[in-house]
This record gives sequence, C-alpha cells and structure tokens, in this order.
Amino acid sequence: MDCVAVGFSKNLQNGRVMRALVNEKDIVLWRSRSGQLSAWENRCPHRGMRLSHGFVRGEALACMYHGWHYDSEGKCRYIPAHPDLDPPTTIGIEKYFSFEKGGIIWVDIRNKTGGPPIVENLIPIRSMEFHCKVERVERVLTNFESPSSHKSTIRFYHVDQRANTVIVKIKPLGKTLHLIFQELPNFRCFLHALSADKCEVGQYKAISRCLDHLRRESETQLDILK
Amino acid sequence: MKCKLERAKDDWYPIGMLTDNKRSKHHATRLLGFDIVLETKRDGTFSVFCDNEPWHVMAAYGHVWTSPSKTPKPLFDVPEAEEYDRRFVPCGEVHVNCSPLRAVENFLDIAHFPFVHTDILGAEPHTEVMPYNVKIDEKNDEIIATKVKFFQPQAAKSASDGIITDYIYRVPSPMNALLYKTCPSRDEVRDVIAIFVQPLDEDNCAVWPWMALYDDQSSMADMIEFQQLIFLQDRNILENQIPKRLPIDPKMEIPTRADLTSVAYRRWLKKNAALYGALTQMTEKNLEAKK
Ligand code: FES
Ligand SMILES: [Fe+2]
Repeated sequence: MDCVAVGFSKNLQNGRVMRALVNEKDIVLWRSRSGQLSAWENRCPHRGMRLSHGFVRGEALACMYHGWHYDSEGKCRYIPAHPDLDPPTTIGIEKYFSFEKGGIIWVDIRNKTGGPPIVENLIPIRSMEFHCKVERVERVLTNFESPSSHKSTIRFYHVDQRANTVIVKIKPLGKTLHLIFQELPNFRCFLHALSADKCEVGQYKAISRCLDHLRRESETQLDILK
Repeated sequence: MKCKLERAKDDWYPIGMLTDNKRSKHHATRLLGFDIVLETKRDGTFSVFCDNEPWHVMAAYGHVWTSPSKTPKPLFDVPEAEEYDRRFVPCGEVHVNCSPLRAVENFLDIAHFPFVHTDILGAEPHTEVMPYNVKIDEKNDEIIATKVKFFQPQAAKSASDGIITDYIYRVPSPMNALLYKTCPSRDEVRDVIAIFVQPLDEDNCAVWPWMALYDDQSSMADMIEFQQLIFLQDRNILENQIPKRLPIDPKMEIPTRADLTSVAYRRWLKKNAALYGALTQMTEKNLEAKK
C-alpha cells in the first residue's frame, strides 16, 4: 500500500504534533500555526530525538531535546545553543509526501502522488487502535455477515472492499461505514471509521458502540477461526 | 561483537548501593548480558556470582562494584570521596531503556537544560552555550571539560535564585562521569555529582547517581528527590533517541559547537575500542543488510 491513512484531519489541530507508524517507519506529523501539514522521518539529525515529542513554534517544529528549529521544508533554521549562528543548510530532515482528502490525513512514504482509494464527503466517526492484525478484523467482519453468526443483534454487511478500505452496512442502523485500516507493528492496527450518511448525535453513539463490539470480537477471537 | 564485550569486561561496574535496606540478601541483577547475583552477608560484606562462579567485588563511592574480569583495571580515583566534611548521597537507581553510552553522553550535555529541565537547570531565553575547553588528560586517559558556564534558575536544592553555574566535567571510564559545579552555599569549593552506569546489556542500563555535596541544609530525602526528578526528565529523552545505540562514526548525527564534550567522548570511545553500546557504520550496514 503506497498511501496510508494515519488519522482524521480534525484530530491534528494547528500547532499540534503527532506520531504515526507507516509501514514500520516512525513518522512525525505536525501542523504549523498557519495550518501547513508536514510528515517527516521522526528523528532529529542532531542527537536522534524523536521529533514527535517536540513542539510547534509558529511555522517551525522545535525538537524537545535541544530546541533546534526546523522549517516546513525540514531545514534547520535555529540552534538555541548558538543564537547568532546561521545553521548550515546541509542540516535537513527526510520529508514524506502527505496530503488530506476525505477528512483524512494520508502519508505516502514512497513519495508517489497517486490518490487514496476513498470517496469524498465522508463524515469521520472514530479512529481507534485494535490489538490485533487487520486480517483478524476483516475475518470478524466477514463472519458478521454470515447467517450462522447469532452472537449479537449487530450485523456488519460487507458491501465492498478496496485496497485497505472495507465498506460495510450496519444492520440495525442502516448506516454505511467506510473502514480504513492502518497496519501497525506488534499485532496492532488502527481503524479509521467514516460514515457515508449524515448522523445525529444518537446515531454517532450507536455506531461507536457497534465499533466497540467489533473491537472486542476481533481482539478476543481465537486463531482457530481461520 | 565478542571483541567489544571482551573490552568491556575489563572495567568495574556498579550493581547496588552499599546500604540498601530494600535489597534482598540474594539480589539478582544483570551486567553486560550476564545474569548475576549480589549476595549481602551477615557481616555486611558482599559476594557476586555468575553461574556459581565468583566475581571480584569491591566497595567504593557509596556503591558495590564488580567486574567479570579476573584482572580488572583499577577503578578510577575520586579524591573528593575522602573529604569527610562533604555529604555523600547515593540516590538509588534509575532504569533506562537506552544504551549505557547514551546515558553518559546525556550527562555531559548542558544545551538541553532549558528544554528538558525547564526552570530548574535552565530556562529560555538563556539558551546560549559559551565556548569551553575539552582535553584528554594523557596521564589517566580521561576526558576533562572545563570552563563550561551556564545560566541556571535553580542549580541545586540549596539555590534559591538564578546563577551562572561553572562546571567541570570528567569522564574517567566509558560508563562513568562526574561533574564539579559551583556550589551555591560556598564559593571556594565545588559540589560533585556523578553517574555510575550499570550496563544491563547494550540497550538497557541502570543509572546510579551519586553526590558529594557541601549542602548542609537540605534533608537527604529532599536531595535524593531533586536528583531523581532530574534523571526522570532525562529518561524521557533517552528512551526516545533513535537509534538506541550511540552512533560512533561522524556524519551519523550532526553536532554543533556546544557538543564539544560529546564529540570528544565519541572519539575517545572509538580510540579505546570501547564500543559496548555503540553503533558503528559497519554494524548499521550489517543490520540493514539483514532486513
Ligand atoms: S536532538 Fe534534536 S535538538 Fe538535539
Ligand atoms: Fe539532563
């Protein structure tokens, strides 16, 4: 997968920093005061500190260890230990291609510009971490649509599947959800759930409960169910 | 791999405090990847065993030290440990999931004070690191950094206002470092703060801070708490450095003038082949090739 969903746009506000893992690569995502989004290798070239612990200063990201400032091009602009020094232009961080579409932040570490497999106008519902692999969740989703599953009144009806996205309908609610997966190391994954239909507050909560149910089922499912 | 472990075996390492009521009589711990047991006998003496084989033990600077070698190098000298008007404060251990060498390098670094020990050991806008001196003391093969000056809002437990603190740093062996700092209560003498690092393995260590101070006002508990707070702030940094091991070859990380001591430390480690906990370009390439 070239393009990976790493979170909802609305969850990364201006001036904030977050960490993301994309194909096992450690990445820092941050938004400047004015709203510019950047995705970089999560390592300060000075002494290796994870930049995701840093803080935004205007249009720059400052490392937490010694406060070096990097502009949105990833170039070092300021070294607090030597305030009068113009940092050498050779100090820079590896940048990755990132963009926002459908309310989601996408990162493409191979820097290809192909778009993500997503329809526009979706409503972000919830981003949640699962302590199991993506295949498990997909398996549970498949199981949910099979008539032999009578464990619960909730049914996820498998509607469609594209690269990294599963589209399902939830039976009691009649809502269509787009579930976008982000693989993580150590048997974990992220699920970013978006709704294709408008939702009232009560429906948000109902969908959220269904997702909790899905998580429980996925995390506790035995591997015998291959 | 074998070679860097062999070199590391020649040194002494701290594995506990001399007095520690909480430690069991048979205390299991780890050193350089070996499982060892520290035995405290009824008469207060110690023995250390690895697979039933006894290792050398000695008491020094508030700690129990051991070495896997049959003929370890002599332990470095700390003359201030004989100045009995000082208060000697072993602070207990802080476990850190990082290379022992990264822990020592962090101890030698002052540029992080305003950002990591905010309003205690440093504060913005006082971030500038003035030029200082670093040399290798040829006689003892130690690194000595002098005239290291930094503005500090609260340099020690006994300091109430900000002062310019003047430091001397000393690295007598790869995993031990000491600093001598201006003492807030007396002009003519210096407080000593040391870290003795126990390498559990190349990626994990236990840091044993030890102080020899002229502070006669603060309680022991307050002084320990102060030092523990500082080290916990450092731990948050140390456990988030990538790669975990200290990159020893230039170009793998980019230093600036303020890092003179750190640069000297890395060079000195390389010269002495003290590479336990270090990453060289060679090992990095090997790791990448394996992926
Ligand atoms: S490690 Fe980032 S500024 Fe030093
Ligand atoms: Fe520190």
